[in-house]
Amino acid sequence: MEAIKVEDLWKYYDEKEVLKGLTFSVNEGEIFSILGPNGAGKTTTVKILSCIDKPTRGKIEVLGYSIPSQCQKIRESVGIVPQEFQGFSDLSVKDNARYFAELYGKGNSSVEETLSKLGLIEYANTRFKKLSGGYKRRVAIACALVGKPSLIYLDEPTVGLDPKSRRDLWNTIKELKNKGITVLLTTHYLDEAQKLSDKVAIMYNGKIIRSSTPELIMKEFEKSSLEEAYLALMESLGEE
Amino acid sequence: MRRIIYTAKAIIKDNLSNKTTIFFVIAFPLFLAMIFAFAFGAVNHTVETVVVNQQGLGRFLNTSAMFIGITSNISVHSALLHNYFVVNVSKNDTIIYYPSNYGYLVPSLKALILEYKSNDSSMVFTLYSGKGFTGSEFVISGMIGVIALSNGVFGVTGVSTGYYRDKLVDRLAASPLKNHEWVISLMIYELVITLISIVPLFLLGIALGFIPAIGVLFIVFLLLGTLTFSGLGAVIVGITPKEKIFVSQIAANIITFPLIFLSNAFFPTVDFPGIIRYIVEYQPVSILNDIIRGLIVYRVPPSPFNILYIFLLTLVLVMLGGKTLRLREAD
Repeated sequence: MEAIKVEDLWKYYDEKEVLKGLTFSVNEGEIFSILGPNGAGKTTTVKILSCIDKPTRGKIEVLGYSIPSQCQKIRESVGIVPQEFQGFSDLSVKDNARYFAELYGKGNSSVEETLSKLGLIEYANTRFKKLSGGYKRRVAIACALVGKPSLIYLDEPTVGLDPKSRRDLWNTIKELKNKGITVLLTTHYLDEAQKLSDKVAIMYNGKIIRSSTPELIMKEFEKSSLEEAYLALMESLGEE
Repeated sequence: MRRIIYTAKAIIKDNLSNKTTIFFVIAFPLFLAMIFAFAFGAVNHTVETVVVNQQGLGRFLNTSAMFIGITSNISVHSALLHNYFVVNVSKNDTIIYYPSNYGYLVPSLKALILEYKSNDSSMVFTLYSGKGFTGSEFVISGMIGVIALSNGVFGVTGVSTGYYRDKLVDRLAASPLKNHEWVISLMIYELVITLISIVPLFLLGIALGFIPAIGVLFIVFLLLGTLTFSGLGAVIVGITPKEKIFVSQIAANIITFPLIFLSNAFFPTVDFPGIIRYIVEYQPVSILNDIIRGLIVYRVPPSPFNILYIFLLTLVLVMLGGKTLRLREAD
């Protein structure tokens, strides 16, 4: 069963083609990573899948709902962790999580449990603005999880985090998969994608140029890591 | 409705936990009121205005250093509400209308009129007094319109610009929160801070001897005024390109300050020269202040024109604000 199904997705901003006919699918319960250099179109793709931006054309289904006609259903069912998440800066961690739980109509019952699982319980009464980058990212995930989504988008979740926070976050992402939650991840970190992903799609200049498992891509380029394979692919495209 | 309540609650709690917001909600209106009430002398006029029906008498009064004589077609009622004297001189009879709290100046005015009439001993004076205002009544009631304006415009532009800058809006855009729920939540926040802002202002008024006549109509028009200007704030943010969102705050300043100072908030309309007087008289802050002053100072209901003006303006600006202030592109 496919959690996300994208066919021939195009997006123009004014005259500029940002996405050029993307086609891919994400199966339920898997971690799917979108990789690519800056400006490849990763964030635009996530924004369209989040129903923030409209596609210019293409057929898109998320959890069986169509974009853009059933966007409200999608917003109610998908958890989002944006690239630069900021909560209400003068509200506490708990109040932020409670707000998002209420926004998704899930009540407060899972807030304490979610904060506890993400190691945030001792910061429950700390104002959001007082937290470090790593803890802010955890709050972002908490705010997505309290809505009890079956699909979650993580847009560059580990940017700017120290190595320990990155590792902790990887474990959290693996736990999401173990719970049966589908994860769509965009990242610049190839080691992260290799460790976490069941499948990856590599975007370049608005197109998907590879979509497969990390192992098959490494095999194609005869490399021992996804990063090396990715660099080989970019080199073949004339990218430094 | 549920999402509106929770979002409004979050915005209110978030902003009222912030010291800067508290300053602008409570201290800033007080500060402004005190500046105008004391520093600019709105409380105590040293020279009073007399509306006369003879230009010669007006010129004569201007030489007195006690009164300013003007000719105007302002009604006696309006003149008294502005604390003006009105003098109608006929051949042997002079009628003087004066604000009740300025009765002590009547003998001086009579003496000057007699001098102008070459001490005509047959001159008969008829005196009527009416409700005027004290400086604190004028400034405190005038500040209400300013609060509705500044909280409405700066509240919406400040809060939404901050949330755009902090990327909170991006997160909310991906949530089930609908566009109109977002705009209504912001407006509820503005209504709440306006109600909070007027409390210390009225306490200052009471300390200065002004007991405002607060009733349901006053609250209704205060909230309508705040909604009007929140709508204006929403339009400003809505039409500002999101990549240059800071421009909305500059635009808010450019629009708001003329609306504050070219209004009847601190000075009576007739104090403004020529054509500016008409702009001042019919701009929204002055209309709102006319309504508010009528209700809390003079205890008179608003005129049908003013009621219609505020209702229509609220409707138009709230609708435009709701249309232009978008949470997301895909709606």
